[in-house]
Amino acid sequence: MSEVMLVNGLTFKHNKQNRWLKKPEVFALGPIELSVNRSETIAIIGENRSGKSLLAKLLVGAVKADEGEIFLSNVTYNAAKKKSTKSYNSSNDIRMIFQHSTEAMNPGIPVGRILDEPLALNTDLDEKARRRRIEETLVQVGLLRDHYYFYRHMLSDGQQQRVAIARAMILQPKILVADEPFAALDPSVRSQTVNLILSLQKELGLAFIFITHNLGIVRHIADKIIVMENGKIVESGKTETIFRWPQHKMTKKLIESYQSLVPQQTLT
Amino acid sequence: MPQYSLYQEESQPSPWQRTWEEFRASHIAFTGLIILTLFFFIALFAPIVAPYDPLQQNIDVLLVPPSWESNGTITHLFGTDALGRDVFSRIMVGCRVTFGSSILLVLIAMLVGVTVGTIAGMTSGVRSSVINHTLDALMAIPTLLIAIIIVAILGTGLVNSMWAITLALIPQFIHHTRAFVRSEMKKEYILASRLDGATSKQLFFHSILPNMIEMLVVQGSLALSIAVIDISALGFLNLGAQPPLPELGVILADGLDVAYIAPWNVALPGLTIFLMVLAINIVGDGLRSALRKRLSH
Repeated sequence: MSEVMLVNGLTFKHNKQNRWLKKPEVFALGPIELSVNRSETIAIIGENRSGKSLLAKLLVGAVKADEGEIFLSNVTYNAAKKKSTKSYNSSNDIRMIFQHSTEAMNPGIPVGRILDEPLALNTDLDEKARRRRIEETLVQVGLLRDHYYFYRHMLSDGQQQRVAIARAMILQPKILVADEPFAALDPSVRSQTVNLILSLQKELGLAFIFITHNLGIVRHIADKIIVMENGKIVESGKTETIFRWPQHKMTKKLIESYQSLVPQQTLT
Repeated sequence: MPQYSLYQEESQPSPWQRTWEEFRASHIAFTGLIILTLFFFIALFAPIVAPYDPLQQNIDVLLVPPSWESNGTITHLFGTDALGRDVFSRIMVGCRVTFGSSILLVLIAMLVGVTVGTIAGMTSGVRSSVINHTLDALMAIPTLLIAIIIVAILGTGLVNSMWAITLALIPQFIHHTRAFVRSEMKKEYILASRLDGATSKQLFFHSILPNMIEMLVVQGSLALSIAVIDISALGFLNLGAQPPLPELGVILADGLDVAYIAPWNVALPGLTIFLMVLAINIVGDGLRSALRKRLSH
């Protein structure tokens, strides 16, 4: 098991008196310690407003942290707003799937061009090679080559989700961060997507960090669980350990609410 | 490349094809387009198509009524004015002057306005809000009034009035572009592109501009109709194009002297301006709804 990512003392403080935020509130995240191994699946659970999405955005670099370091393949890239870190292009190795795949797709350009953008910006491939790569990726996530020409409004939610996955996959990253990737999907499409990600993980050996409220999926696919409350990691560990012997109050609550559903499901 | 065909409709219509199909479905918009194309044609080929020289005076045929009147002749389709000039030729060349210069100045205003508006929208802080609020104050004044003030400083003439209207139109473009870019920058797909490593320039051309076309069409057609009205208004007030030059507003002002004995000298250029503005607005509206439908179903 080789380590691909190490997060060290990552903190984020939201205490600026921003104008658009009416009530002045203090929200602090972290310090977060986290290590991710190759082809490992990590689930982040917790209630709303516990800082899960913010953590995901910090990990991919969409939001700059205040303190702390992230080592990605032994290169620091997000150390607390230092300008020098920009030189390392993190987008090749870590990619994000956004919470709302509909909003994360540009409505004005076809799927092909959406997928072309990361390739054109981050690789040296010429147009033909990019085209081939896009088509391969589309097929890989279970779409057709013809979807190259499709616009957002022509695709269903599940297909949009697949495009979002394709967009994340196309640069062949080492880590995939997903913010509630299964929330808006119906059970069959959800399991298709889960299987898709699992098979991609097996093929490419990528680490997968995801945020979810669905503990069933967590138990099914996650290797490790991180429980968050008020911007802090309150408990973390192997999935089975957490499910069987939850230590923290928060974890117990979450697990109990999940367990209470399970017998009913098995009865029917 | 599709190697096998799964769908009945084999071709993937490009966005422009889809827009065109949506546009054609609306009969009113299509009629407007035909009229506008006619004006385009006249604006391009007026000197070749016009039967007479618009400036040539002919004392033998003073104030000849239009051809549909009982005492009119077919040689002068729209009759002649007080100096014996052919009204039909004058209106054709007048369309060229008014319509052509309006298109030109709207394009310039759009280019400048969108550039400044984009810069204002993508930056934040003091600079951006200074640009915005100064120009918001300017937008409270009607464009014609600003144009009259600018003409008063620069002096009369068609070119000066064109500059004046261009300057008066720019704030609108800046305001709308800025508002649009700001709202767009908050969306998640911009964040996604930014994570891909796109610079601000790439973000604009690749992600924002394709979505901005609808707004540009609406603002462009509005500005074009304002420009046509303003240019002819300045010409009519004798502040813009000067009398020998056949410009629709000038023709209208010339005809006003003989309006009682020769009403066609006023009615026909006035009707032309009306038709022109109507066609521009109808086409703009149709194009807007077609562009919106292109991305909705």
